[in-house]
Amino acid sequence: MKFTLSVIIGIRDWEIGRLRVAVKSHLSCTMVKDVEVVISDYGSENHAEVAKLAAELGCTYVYTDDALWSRSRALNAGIVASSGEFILATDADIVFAPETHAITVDYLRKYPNSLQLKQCRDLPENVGLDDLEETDWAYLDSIARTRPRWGMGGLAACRRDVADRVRGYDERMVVWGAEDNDFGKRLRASGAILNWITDNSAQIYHVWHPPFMQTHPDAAEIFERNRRYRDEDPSIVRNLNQGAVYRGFEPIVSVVIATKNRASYLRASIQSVLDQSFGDFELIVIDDGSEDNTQDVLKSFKDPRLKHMHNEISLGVGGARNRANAVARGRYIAVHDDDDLMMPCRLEQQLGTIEAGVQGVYGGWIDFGNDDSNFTFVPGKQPFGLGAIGFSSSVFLHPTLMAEKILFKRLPYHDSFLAGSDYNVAFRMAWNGVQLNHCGAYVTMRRIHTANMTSVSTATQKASSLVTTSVFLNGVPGRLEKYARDEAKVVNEVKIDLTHEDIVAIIHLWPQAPYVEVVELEPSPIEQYTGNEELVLSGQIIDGKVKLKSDFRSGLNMPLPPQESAEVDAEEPEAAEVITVFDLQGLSFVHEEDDIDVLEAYGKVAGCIFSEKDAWTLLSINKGGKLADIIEKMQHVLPPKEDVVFIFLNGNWMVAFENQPDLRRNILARKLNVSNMDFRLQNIRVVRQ
Amino acid sequence: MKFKLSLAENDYQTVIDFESGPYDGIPPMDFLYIENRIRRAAGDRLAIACALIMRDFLASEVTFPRPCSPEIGRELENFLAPLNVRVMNMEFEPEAKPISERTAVLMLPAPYEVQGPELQSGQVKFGIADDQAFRSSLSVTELQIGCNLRLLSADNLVSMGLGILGLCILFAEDFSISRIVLPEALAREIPNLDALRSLTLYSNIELVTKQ
Repeated sequence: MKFTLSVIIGIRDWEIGRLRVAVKSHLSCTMVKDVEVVISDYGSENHAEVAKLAAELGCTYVYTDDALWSRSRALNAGIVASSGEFILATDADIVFAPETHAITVDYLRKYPNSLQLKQCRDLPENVGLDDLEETDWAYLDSIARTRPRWGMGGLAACRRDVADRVRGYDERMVVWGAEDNDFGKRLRASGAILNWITDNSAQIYHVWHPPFMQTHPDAAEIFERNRRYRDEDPSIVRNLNQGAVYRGFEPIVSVVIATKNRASYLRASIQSVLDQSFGDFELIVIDDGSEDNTQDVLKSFKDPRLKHMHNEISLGVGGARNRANAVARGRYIAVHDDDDLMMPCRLEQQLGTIEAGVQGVYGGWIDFGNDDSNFTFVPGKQPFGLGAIGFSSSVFLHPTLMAEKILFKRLPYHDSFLAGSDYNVAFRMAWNGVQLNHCGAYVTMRRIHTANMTSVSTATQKASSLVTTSVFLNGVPGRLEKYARDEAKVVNEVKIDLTHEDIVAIIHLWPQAPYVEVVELEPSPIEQYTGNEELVLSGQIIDGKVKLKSDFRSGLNMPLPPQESAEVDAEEPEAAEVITVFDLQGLSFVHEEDDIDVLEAYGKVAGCIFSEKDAWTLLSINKGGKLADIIEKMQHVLPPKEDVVFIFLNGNWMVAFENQPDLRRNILARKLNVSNMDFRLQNIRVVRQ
Repeated sequence: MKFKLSLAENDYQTVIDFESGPYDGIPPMDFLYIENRIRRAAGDRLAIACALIMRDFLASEVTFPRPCSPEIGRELENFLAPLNVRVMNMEFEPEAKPISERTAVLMLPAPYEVQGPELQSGQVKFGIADDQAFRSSLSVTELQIGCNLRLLSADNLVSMGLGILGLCILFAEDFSISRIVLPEALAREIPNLDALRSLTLYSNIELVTKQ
């Protein structure tokens, strides 16, 4: 680290004279050579002046152009730009007594897992800038009044890695208010102590200015919204979205893959990790003595987040994982397998569900056939515990686990197990009272193939599991087993509602869906449907891929043309032309079962799903494929809701039906009298570009 | 932080529950389980044990399962200084102090373990059970306690070492331990070691680094 301490001051439109006084107090401290002052200017109109002052005083200056003031984002931008071992967040209206930095750093060295705080002392209104140019600290002390410990914004200091574990201040909070206490609350939840420095030599003074409540018309509403984030959101890790200002000095999560002779699956597995919506991670792939072209696959990736390790002699999957975990830099380790696919929002979803007292999270998984088109959705069960792991099934799949690294260090994989070391770890976690929460989402697509660890070594797996459970059960009183079995009775399957994004992700990841391409993923801007909306589907076939685009438009009240206009010549497309409008109220396109065969024989078929909102997505089948197969797959990925309607398009053909078991019968008898769906289906124009 | 000591429903595990105060860190789990019953533990030793096991998370007032003597309360606050930790339940009526005989040699788990010299007569090794073991292993010369302490400790020698020392003090009365040998590497790293020695001496336990 370049400096010992980085002082971060977040400002917007602050008077230069006041800023100068505050910064100079930091530059007059006793450990000045080790202190960096970072001025994070969040959209000041006078930013040229601020930049000039920063240059004059030797400060690090960072400017962010944003129409909306957010102290949280300003501080985060300052932290990212800083280079100190410790960071200290403060304001431009606070002046520091000379010993304050040194005392704070001393506490941080003694208590690395802490947030150090200092109560502010308010200076009276009549203390002006002139009084602070040549500061008489004893005099200030005699006239200042101590502020209650309501806020933590005057001085909040911690180690950089401690700030990293909660990913800084919550950037949803705008203007200011509650972000400091929220930061402290989340650090406590992550195990850090809060210490109010009581040494009298460490003092901070607040220079008077008109109260914010008097100057900002929306102050009360802003405070209230910020407070709600602080009080109602139990998550510890924030700013997980792609546009977040905060960037960790170290990755917060290390994804670890142990692989051996799986080159054919490894590429897709790695790519699914690199495509995560949350990008601040490292990926460690440990090659446990592969004899195929695994090394070539690894070297073909140029992403700096990917690190690979190699075992000349195989250590087994447990030993390999232990070795990779030992060098992982993340606070959390996300377990991933070399033949599985990671759902694109897994890291974001799992990090976002870590709460106080929770050391890890797991999620649901989707088994998909590598050689067939079978999908099985396994949501998993909760609560996690001895009863669940020991005496229930389909609770938890190891490659869905993200947990604190220290857990894997304290309870490492048993490297003598050739298989089943994951069960052993889960069992020991449960026995030790580790709390793992379900993240409420499907996070992994598990590839089912002939070379699965579970399929090639079922006997070994069973033996390992037996040994693990027997070491426990043979050593404890029978009544403890009874308690665990009773506990298993209240273990319940988690209910996961698939989202539109889930469905799109599954189809994107699914290797058997080569023709699918979704071009419009944004949800409709319409919040409330009135019944007058139109749904426009735009269809295009390019290079054998079906592309469709949907859009809701409100209030157009397009007149319905006669149904016979449904006949369209697919061979003569015209760019962006409205080809036809279907009135699905009558649904007159497919009356006979034979028509379905025609549809299937025609070529590629794209399917759309309309659910409660306007979620939609596509699947396709090849020429000669069975429509029933694709319908079945789509049913797998959807909860059985009555208001879900499928529409299949194929050139001139359109079929619509409800999500009900007997689909063919339903198609033939279809009347589309679903009351809350009628408006969506009344006016559909098919546009071919 | 408030501590509560109880025997688990299954009737053979001891459980110490923690409830964090306003400035305390929130520990990764809110209880310590021990695979044995604690048959005798005076209020003073119980307080020391709790404070050492949860030292990393203490930053405000503490209430122990049973009151401790004023001198232990004061020594604890000294040991934890400069943090503003305050002991809330002290018993000013005199209480008998246990007198023990034996020496325990503290054993640390991986990656902190060190090979100590052979045990001398009347000494007992004290440590936590292997991470693959589900239960304690107790013999006259070696006590390996099954517990989840390793998951409460931070990733450093002092945190793990003080936790095991606390556990040893918890068992001191049952196993007649009056002297505890700390690994030298641990003793070197403990901040306020003199204050810690003074603290344990008030409960008739001497901390040494030589057998």
